[in-house]
Amino acid sequence: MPGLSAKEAIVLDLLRHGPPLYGLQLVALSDGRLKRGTVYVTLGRMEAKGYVAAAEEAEPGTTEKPARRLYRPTALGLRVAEAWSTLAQALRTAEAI
Amino acid sequence: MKSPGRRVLRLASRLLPPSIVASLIAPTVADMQWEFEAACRQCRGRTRYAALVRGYAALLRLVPVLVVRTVGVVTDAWMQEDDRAMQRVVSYSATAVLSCTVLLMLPPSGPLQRMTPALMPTTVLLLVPQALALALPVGFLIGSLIGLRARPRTGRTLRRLLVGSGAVVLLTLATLWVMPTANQAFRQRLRADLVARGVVPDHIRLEKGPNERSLRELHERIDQTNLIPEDAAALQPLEYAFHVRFAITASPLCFAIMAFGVVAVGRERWSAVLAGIAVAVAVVLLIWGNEARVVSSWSPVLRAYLPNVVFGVLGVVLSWCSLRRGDRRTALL
Repeated sequence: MPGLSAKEAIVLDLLRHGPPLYGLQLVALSDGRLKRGTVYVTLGRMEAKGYVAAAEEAEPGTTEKPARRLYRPTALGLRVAEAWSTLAQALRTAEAI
Repeated sequence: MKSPGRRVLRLASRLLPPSIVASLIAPTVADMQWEFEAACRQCRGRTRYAALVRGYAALLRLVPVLVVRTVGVVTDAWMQEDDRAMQRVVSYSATAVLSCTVLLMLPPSGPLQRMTPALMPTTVLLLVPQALALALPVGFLIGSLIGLRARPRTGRTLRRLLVGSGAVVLLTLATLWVMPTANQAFRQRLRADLVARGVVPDHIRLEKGPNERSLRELHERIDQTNLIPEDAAALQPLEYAFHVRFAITASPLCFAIMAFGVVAVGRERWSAVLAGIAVAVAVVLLIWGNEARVVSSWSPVLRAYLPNVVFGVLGVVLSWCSLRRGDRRTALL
């Protein structure tokens, strides 16, 4: 099963329940669990793994004023998040028993 | 209104690989600019400054990641360029250094068999610097010879090999600096244990040998011995020990040039044979330098530096021939 770190799980959790988000919005919605300085490191890694896809905002960027990037989950990202949350739930149930 | 962070972006575009700028710097700067503009629209000065502080703090927090990523990307590009030659040199050298260190520790660890078993593991560690000082240059020579086989023979590879040899020089220097103290500590621990168990008498003094003296101590001892004409025979080993430390420290540089020359000139089939001969010559020259007949008739300075001179000159000639033979326009890039 493809791996999913804690930060990647938070990102996917935020993205799959709502519209595509900017990096800054993800930081704001995460209640301090994602940091502004490193959110793009996580997003870059997730993009490389194929969990999220990024699109630049409608207004094209320039060399001095780059465009913001809007992130949305891919089908693979959604399935990985689903699988991990199912596994986590199964473990919690087993622990309760 | 000027957008904040544009200088950072311009500087990053010049210094860092484009993929890193696009994935890390540009989105962070874009966020800062967006937040700053939003604060400007509301005409709130304090919020504006807060946006700038948060934005630049986020960029600062990225610095360690940028360093690691950039080193990774640049190293990877280098590896691709010379067909992973340097990666091979590093891994083969590390293996050779480890093997040589273990082999060189075997003969001096003989007396340890008479020691209390509980003290042996910590005492044997004191032999590491002495073994490592020789294992580093020899291991680097073996690693370079094997690692460079069938790889591009360009001036760029030679330059990278020389940078690598510089790192080995520094490591050897550090090891040789620690070696005299470690050697003396080894002898003192062994003696203390043997005296405690009554194997040797207590009154025997443990005089420092040439390998147990630091460079300053050796220099002072040479000066003292020079004043006494009767001690001329004692001068030779001291002078040899003094100069051989400089020679060993510089040897990785000579070995690097030699390894490049041997591998560059020899054909694929012959490079293994030439590599074997080169290592054999290095070992023979080292043994020859300590031969009793040679010790009495050859100058200690010459004995210490001869292997470096032989390897250096031969390496320069072979490397020059190889680079001249190739396409000089591309080879020396």
